[in-house]
Amino acid sequence: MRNTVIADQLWYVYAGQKEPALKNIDLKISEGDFVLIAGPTGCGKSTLALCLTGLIPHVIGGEMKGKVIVDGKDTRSFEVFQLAQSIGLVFQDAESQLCSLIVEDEVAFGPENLAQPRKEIEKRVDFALSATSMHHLRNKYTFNLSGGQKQKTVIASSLSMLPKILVLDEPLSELDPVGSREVLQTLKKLNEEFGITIVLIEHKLEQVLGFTKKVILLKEGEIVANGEPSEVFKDKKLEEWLGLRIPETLKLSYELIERGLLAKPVLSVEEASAFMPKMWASRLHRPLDSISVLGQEKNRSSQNELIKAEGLCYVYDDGTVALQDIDLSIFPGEFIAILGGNGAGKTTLALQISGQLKPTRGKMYIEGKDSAKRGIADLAGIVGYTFQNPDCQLFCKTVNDEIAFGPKHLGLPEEEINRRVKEVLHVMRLEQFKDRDPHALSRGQKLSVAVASVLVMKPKIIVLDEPMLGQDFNRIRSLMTQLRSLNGQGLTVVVITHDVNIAAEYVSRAILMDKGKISADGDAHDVLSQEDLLLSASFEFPTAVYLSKLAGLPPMLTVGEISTAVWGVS
Amino acid sequence: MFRGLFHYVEKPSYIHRLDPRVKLLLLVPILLLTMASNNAFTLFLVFSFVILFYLLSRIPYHRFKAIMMVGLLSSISFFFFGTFFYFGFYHHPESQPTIWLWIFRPEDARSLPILGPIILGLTGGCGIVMSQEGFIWGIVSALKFFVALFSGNLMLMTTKPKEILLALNKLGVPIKLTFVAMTALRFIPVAMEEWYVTLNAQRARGLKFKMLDVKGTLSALTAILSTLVVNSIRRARILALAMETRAFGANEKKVTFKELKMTRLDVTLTAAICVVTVLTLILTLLYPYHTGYTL
Repeated sequence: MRNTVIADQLWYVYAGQKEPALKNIDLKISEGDFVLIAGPTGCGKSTLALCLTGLIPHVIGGEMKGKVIVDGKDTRSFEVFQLAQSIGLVFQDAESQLCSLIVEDEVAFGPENLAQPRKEIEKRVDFALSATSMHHLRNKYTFNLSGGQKQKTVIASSLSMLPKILVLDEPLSELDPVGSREVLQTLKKLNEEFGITIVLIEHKLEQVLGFTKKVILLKEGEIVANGEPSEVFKDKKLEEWLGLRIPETLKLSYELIERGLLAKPVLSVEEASAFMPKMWASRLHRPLDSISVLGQEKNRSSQNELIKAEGLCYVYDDGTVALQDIDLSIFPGEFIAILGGNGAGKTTLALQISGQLKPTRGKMYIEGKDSAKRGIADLAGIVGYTFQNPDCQLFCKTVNDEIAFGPKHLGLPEEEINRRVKEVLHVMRLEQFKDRDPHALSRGQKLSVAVASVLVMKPKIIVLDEPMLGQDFNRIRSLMTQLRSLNGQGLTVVVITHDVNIAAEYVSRAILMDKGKISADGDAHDVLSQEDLLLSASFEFPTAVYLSKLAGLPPMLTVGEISTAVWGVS
Repeated sequence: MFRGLFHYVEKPSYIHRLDPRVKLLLLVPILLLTMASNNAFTLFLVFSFVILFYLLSRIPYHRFKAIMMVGLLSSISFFFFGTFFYFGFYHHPESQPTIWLWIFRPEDARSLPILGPIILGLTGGCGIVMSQEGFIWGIVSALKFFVALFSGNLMLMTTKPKEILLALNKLGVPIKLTFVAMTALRFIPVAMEEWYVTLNAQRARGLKFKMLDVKGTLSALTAILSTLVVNSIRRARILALAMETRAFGANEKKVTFKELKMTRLDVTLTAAICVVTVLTLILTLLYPYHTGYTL
């Protein structure tokens, strides 16, 4: 098959930097392929995307050596807009890429700029909207769309340029499971029905691996692996080496390969269900009924409830009912995940717990006191809250000031402030950044600063709204480990998340929300192993639950649990 | 409440279907008349005329109510200012105001230590007085404000933003300028959301806004603004790259996907607007307004 993207000896150095961002990249992508590019943060994935689309060297300066040829065009000798008719680019942050208020205006933007005849523009808009299944939303406001729909609008407006190749730079990282699936299905359709070559840069391997035909791994600006997914992921060391988040299915494959039960890795759940033999349940180390999950000893009595909601309802100004009849108690020392699909009311509940919103009906008690009677600032030392987007909650000139902001306003003495700031900087490993501008940090570091600036007030409970969104796996893992250790020291932790596999691994209690109500609340193991319940809340269930079921085992939340149960090693 | 203002509302109505250029044209005589007239009755007629358009446009009641609230809140300040300070500002040696109630006679104010000079300075030495003229001025100004607020909002709520820009382009405003305006409109809701998040993030870290703490409030607001600006710049950079890949500026000419078409209704209305405007002008010339504010 014809090679549609060729990179030949590509080197690139950003202006003002010494170390090249890309080194000696040789790359061939054939027509109609679906390629995944993965690697740790800073490995040069995004730079590569900018090179392929000609934004490097045309718009972004720096020094480029070597050649990139896209659809027969050398990127040096064609303008970006000419290249754009061969290769489209979609970035991570959908919101920022939309310049129009109405969906169809956005999609028409490219062809309008190309001064196509009106008939042709209409044809292209129709094509782009139907290829992305966005026809029914064409007259909607872009800012009212869900995350997945926004990302699909961006894809559609790239499609209206009629590219042969589509490059997507982490398009899923800010989406929930439903939105991710929506976008991936769209990409699959574009690839299969319209023959568009897809180059997908993504670290959500769990969801993506089932779709890709080829994988390229980058590390420190170099290609370190390139081939069929099942070949590339044969190597068990990838997780440690590249900081990639290895999908649960793959983890189980490694266990099976090690024991000679499997020849090559299994990449997706679909694939697993085709072969997973029930027979290996018979290799159980221990009898089935002895396998149980250890529940945590709970410090529960109605005397020491930290948070208590009674018949709580919340209605937004525009009449949207966000929460209905919520009864909830949170006890000191719990590690809780609030799960649920988009619009289930997770964030609203978290804002209630932290006292930022007051109930429309019903009561919310924080440390036994009615939250309606307390200002947000009065609760600052009791409930810590971090918002979804770390960018919006950092507002000081240095990391040090940012962290000191809270204690200063709590009126603590200077010495105590300094002591606490120092301690938190150490815990969150931010010492080296303390004099930097928080906005100049990486997304992961910003998250750490946001969490640190809340922890420093020594709250009794910390509520984190989607802290994992847009973060790479190393950051997620280190954050969760830090939270676990703080939890061990007595801090109550509430995490809102879409990531059911992370919840399965770390939390002890799960609250599932659906349409403004709590549809399940209890021990994480009990809640997360109930498939029907999770699916009815349009949520996913942990991959390991599915895998253990395939193997004829009782539901288990992680592959670690499965392998302990089956082979008796952890 | 204020988020509901200025937003387009999709409804199947005659007003929505009007060509945006006609709607812009309609605004001209309405606003001219409003500016020129100081007569409460005339203004009330113009206002009723605008309300008639509202009824035709099928704008939902809660939107209407939101605008009404803004109007009423603002009129309070007009009334306050009019009734208490009008006399001082518009004092004319020959005019004899009908005084209803003295709050501060000039001689009382002169004997007051600190507040006195301030009052005298603010009112041009006339003191604070409730007068009939001031009251009428309040009514007239509030009505003017109402007409401007309602007619402007009617335009924005019944016309898609893109159509307004298209109409402006047709009327000779450069595309680059209208594009900037459109992008600004596009990012207002995002910026408002971020404003609230940053504000609440500050509160959640113990910041209290105190009534008289000007310095503290200012520094908090500066912090929010700078965060907003940093985020906007970051967003603008991504937007610029995205626009580059979508050929913005590639051609001198830009075709617009949507076309403005004048229907028979548009033509009829344009003719009617012209006739009414000309008639009004003639009448104004024949019977010039007296300059005072009247009911």
